[in-house]
Amino acid sequence: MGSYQIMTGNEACAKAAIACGMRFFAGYPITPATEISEICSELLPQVDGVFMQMEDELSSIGAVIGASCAGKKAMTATSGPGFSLMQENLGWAYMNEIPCVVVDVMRKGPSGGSATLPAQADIMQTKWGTHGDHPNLVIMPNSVEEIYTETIRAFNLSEKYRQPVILLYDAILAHMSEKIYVPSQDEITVIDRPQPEESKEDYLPFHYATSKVQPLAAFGEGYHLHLSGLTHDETGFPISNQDLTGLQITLGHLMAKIDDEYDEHIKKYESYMLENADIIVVSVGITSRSAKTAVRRAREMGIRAGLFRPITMWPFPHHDFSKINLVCKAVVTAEMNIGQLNQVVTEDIDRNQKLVMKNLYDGNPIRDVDILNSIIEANKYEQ
Amino acid sequence: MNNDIYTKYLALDKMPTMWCPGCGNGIVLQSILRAVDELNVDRDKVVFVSGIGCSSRAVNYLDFDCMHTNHGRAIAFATGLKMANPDLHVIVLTGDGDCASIGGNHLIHACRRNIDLTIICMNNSNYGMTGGQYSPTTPIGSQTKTSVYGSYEPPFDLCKLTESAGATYVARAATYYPLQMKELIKKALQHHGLSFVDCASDCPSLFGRLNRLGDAGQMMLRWKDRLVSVQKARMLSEEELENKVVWGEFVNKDNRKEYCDIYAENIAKAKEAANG
Amino acid sequence: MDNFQLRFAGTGGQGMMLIGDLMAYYYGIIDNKQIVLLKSYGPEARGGACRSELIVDEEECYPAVTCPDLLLAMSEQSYHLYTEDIDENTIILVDSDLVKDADETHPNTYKVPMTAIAKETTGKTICANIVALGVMTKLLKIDPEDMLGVLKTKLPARILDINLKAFQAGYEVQS
Repeated sequence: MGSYQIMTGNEACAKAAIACGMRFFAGYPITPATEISEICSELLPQVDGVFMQMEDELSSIGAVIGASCAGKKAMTATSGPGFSLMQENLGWAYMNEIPCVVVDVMRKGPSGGSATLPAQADIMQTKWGTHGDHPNLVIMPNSVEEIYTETIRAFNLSEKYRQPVILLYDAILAHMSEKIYVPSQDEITVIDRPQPEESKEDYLPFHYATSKVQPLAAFGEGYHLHLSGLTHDETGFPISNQDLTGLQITLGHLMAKIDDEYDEHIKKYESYMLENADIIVVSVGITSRSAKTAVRRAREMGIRAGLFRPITMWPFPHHDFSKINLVCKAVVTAEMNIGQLNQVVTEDIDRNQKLVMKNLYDGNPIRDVDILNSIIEANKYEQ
Repeated sequence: MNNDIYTKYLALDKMPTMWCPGCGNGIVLQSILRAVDELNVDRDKVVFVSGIGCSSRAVNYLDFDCMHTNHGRAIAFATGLKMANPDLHVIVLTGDGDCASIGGNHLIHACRRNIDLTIICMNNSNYGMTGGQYSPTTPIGSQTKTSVYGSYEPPFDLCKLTESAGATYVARAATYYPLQMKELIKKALQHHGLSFVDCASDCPSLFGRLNRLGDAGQMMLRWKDRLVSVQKARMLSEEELENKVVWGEFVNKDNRKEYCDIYAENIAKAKEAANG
Repeated sequence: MDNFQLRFAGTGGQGMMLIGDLMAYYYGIIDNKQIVLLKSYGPEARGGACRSELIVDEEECYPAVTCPDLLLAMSEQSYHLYTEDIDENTIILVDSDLVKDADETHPNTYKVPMTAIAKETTGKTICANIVALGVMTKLLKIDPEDMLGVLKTKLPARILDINLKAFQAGYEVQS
């Protein structure tokens, strides 16, 4: 049996990571993510884990990738400015399919912005942050309890699909405390990365022909594993520029391994009061909580409103959302940025459906009454 | 020439290397492999980590665990790898641009921690991969693609830099003395703590051509008069040492704890605090 | 009780964050409600006015206080800074020695010399926050035994006794 405890979002993240086997953390202090480092520095050595405060964020993610290549579950945590610095090395991890979890606690930007104020403006950066494109897995929890459970899911997805996973939440969730259920160790489902079955001589670190995830051998076990950020073949050795199919094959595999598993194992969203909804609010993270209240109040007023909340933000559940919004007349997006989610859902609605944007980027959370007003405005629309 | 070294350690199907004829990188790589071989290190526990540049390409010809990372970041990746598994012998292959410019911060912090990595810098005084621009070790006055009126930036002495940052083994070797290079690398590999070997090398295709230093053979011969051993250098005046390159072992000490060992103590303290 | 909001305001060092923790534990764990606890962060929490806020609900709630049901103000600065969103139903508890100009017309304001009581009963003004906890326990009709249990669970043993005294004094001063 687990227990009910009161803790902050950052505390939940650090403790969940350790509970599911994270044994290497490297980070650089940055508000509002620092507490994750602080807690890891205290708790990790107690379980023979490694905590390292690195010289910057470039080395933090570098060390995390290095540790993962030695077989450890590894994590780093940062905020926007540090997340920007991590992009190049994160790209290396995507290219070489290295499991790791990166926590981005969003604060108001751009640039240094306002360190203690919340925002949801890194949604697009988590998708398109590094140069060169690739599929990605990004999770956006909306409560302290969900940070706990989704941190574990982030590690499980990362280990299972051999890919970095980004856990994305904002400064409010990071610092607020809630009562959460902390499961006992035997209540936690932990997925560890698969181990190679073939002989050391026959083992290849990559498999590109199909969507199958190739097990990742650890360094130091005799596999003579070759990893490179350059375009490589299944041996891991770089291939020449003359072999133009190379990158096409790599990217094709990276996409296929996610696509094949998406519906059953990766996709995750919450549907709230979506039955017969005329107005669908799309919102993620902390803002989805005021969106939920706004939807409830709209229903009390006789407006048929509902909430669609992606939890796996990327890949976005375009297919499901297109079906869900078929009969609604308007979609309202509520988010703390200049309209990133709004741009995403544009793809999924028809020309005769109205799209209302409720956004705020002044560092204040969006209140339920403001979203309710947007719902009321959207409800006036005649198709 | 011991051909066994090649068949034993190189990925022969990846040959020929992308290095230009006369490049010093091959001599450095050969010295490393001979050192590894003579020390009888368990090769399955050796991991080579490199960054970006001509030097870093070395890992793409090796039959070991290898990690070819991003420009400047090899030491960061290597640090995580070593801390996650302290039983590994982690060797960083890097160049002057990779470790002293874009990766300079990681270099000094690795030295500060005195973590048990062996960092081998193939120092050819310019950026070869991108076509011969000046680097943080280019001598003042040199012609490069980005210093067409002569390089005007003061260069780093990487041995002094790493020593002052806290490295506990520091040496300079030169491709002109390959056997001594092998011996210095052997000592670096055996050292418990951060070891740094600056390997003075040549880039005939770019630095040599741009500075009209002749072909690879002529460039190699230039070292004969310029290299001064650290023992001999002690007896020379500053004027006499001008334009000379001092080679040999500068630092070899065990007065500082190694970082993995320090962290093991931290684990012990944490467990004591948790239990008491 | 649908949605219940409390704000504990004072100066950095007066223990307002601890009051938030103790109240959160009471409502969340003992009373088994959903809670959100928010605290001043960073430079805000180091000197100057600071606050912690607790939102109590039957269901998951949005983490922002809209109109506090109870406001504790332990300094004049915090009283002025954090009373913008109150209404006449808000229970306001001020330290009468530290907040001299509390609004006389507000119908629900309680003035108690909590710091003086702390000094008198424990010899330490730092226990004023726990005196305030005693007063609030009375005002909010919380079973004092429950709150004593919270103190015993959450406070380190070396400071428990004087704080139990402080709590008792606060609980009894308020009729």
